Amino acid sequence: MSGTTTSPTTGTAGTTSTTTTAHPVLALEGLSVEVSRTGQSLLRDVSLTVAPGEIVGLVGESGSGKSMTSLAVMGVLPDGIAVTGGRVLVDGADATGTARRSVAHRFAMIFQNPKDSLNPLMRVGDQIARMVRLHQADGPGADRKAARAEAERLLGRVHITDPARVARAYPHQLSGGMCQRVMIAMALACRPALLIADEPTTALDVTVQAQILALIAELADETGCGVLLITHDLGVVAELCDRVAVLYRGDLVETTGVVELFESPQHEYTRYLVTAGEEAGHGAA
Amino acid sequence: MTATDTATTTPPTTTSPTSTADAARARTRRPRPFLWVGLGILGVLVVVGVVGPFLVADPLAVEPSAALQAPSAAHWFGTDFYGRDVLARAVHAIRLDLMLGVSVALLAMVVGSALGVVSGYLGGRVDDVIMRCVDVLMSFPGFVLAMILLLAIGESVPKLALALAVAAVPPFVRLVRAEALAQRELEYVDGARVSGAGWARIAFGHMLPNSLRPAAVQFTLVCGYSILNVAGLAYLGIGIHAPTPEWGVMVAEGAQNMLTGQWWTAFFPGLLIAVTVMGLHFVGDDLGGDR
Repeated sequence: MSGTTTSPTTGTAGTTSTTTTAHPVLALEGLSVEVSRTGQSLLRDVSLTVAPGEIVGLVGESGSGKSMTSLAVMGVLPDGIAVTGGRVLVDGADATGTARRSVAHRFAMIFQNPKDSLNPLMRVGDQIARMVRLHQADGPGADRKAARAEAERLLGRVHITDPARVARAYPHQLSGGMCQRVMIAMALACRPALLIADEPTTALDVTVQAQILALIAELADETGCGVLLITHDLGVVAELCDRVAVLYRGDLVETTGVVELFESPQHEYTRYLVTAGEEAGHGAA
Repeated sequence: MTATDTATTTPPTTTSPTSTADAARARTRRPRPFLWVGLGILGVLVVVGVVGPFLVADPLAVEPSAALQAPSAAHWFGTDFYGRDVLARAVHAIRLDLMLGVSVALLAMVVGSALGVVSGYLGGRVDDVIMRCVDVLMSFPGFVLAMILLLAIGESVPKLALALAVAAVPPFVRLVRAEALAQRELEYVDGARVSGAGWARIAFGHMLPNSLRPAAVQFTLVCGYSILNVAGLAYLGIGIHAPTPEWGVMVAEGAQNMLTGQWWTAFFPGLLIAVTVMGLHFVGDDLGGDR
């Protein structure tokens, strides 16, 4: 409610939107989140940046505040939980506390349970087409038919064979992996500068998981959008991320390159996470 | 059941929806006798209700010389105390009774579902206020509440529908709210919020259609109960009055003849009430049953 940021308010950001590459698409500066009534702290002083085309992992155990971070960024924190400190910068402009509509056109988000992420009563093609109409009103979103065609093209883009038929399917007729591809196609329809993926592969089996991750990496390369990948799976991090931020009980304990994370973890908790991952890996092998 | 079984036994395919789509088709082919019997009964009633009035005698034509005749070829359902043809009266009553049943259920469903989904999605204080009002409504027996309302606002057919609808709203609110509470936790709702949709769009555009199934079942049941309630109120002399051809009115008039042995004056309208309500319940049972 406090800030109004349709134009850059900071003195340094005297640039127009054409030079967005100069800024990270997302920067968190000392973000703190609390439960309003009890004052219980959920996130303390979290700082994080995501550059265009970069894939940043956000790891931590259950309850460490990973999802809270993503919800705070999108401005859809649950009732009774509020940002109490710090700033969220979008393209270098302060977007803290502004209405979610103002960031909706820059960000897209995909969720943990692909089958619950789609409206069960709408054909998936229609759901993608709606995003096209919302976010590409100047292009194919201008009329209904072109939006449908664009939706099918996007389905092909996420490696779905026979997009015309899948576009007419309802979510319950598709597998989890297919639904997640549809979600990614919807995200693409938003032409996002930042894609937030909240544990996108947790509900999928391992082979499908690998396909989805490869797809996310491929699209980040092609479109140059930044990705904030929230996960508790260090294997996923090793495979995909450029940099990693480690959350522990609401504190950001370490931000480092992915190679450094595994070779020389700085923080005790990071070390613990890495060795725990290795032990689990050996146990399974 | 069949859908999930087939889905888990076939190997996971990421490129084709065929397996689950086939299962979905197989599921819709399952025989559903109750649905078809129920729809059949209702279909016949609607046809007779539309066409019948042109084929039968005048329901208001009094003929004292032909009073209280037993069912015969001339009068299939017999005649009543005033010599009116019971069949003609019963057939003319179909339209009024069905229309009352459907309009009461429709009114209650529209209002109740809207309140329920708003209550379930917004939660908090709005939820508290709506649910306490519903609790107050529920603390009256529906039939008595409708009776009191009707006597307060005056008697006419639209007001009768309104009074019965008010009494039928609470279950719709509760059913839809319960479903909306479950739907609210699903991620497509978060997705809609993330893409910038307002609360009204999310509640009515996304959650309401997905929360309506229990309400659809309740709809058919309320249709049936409303017809019973209309008949019950008419029997007590409230709402619809003699000589209007209406099943409840006919049962009330015929009840006096039962004691003297002319069973047909009350039996046939009573049978029609029972058959109609049964047909509606068959449909409701099928829609509500697990698939």
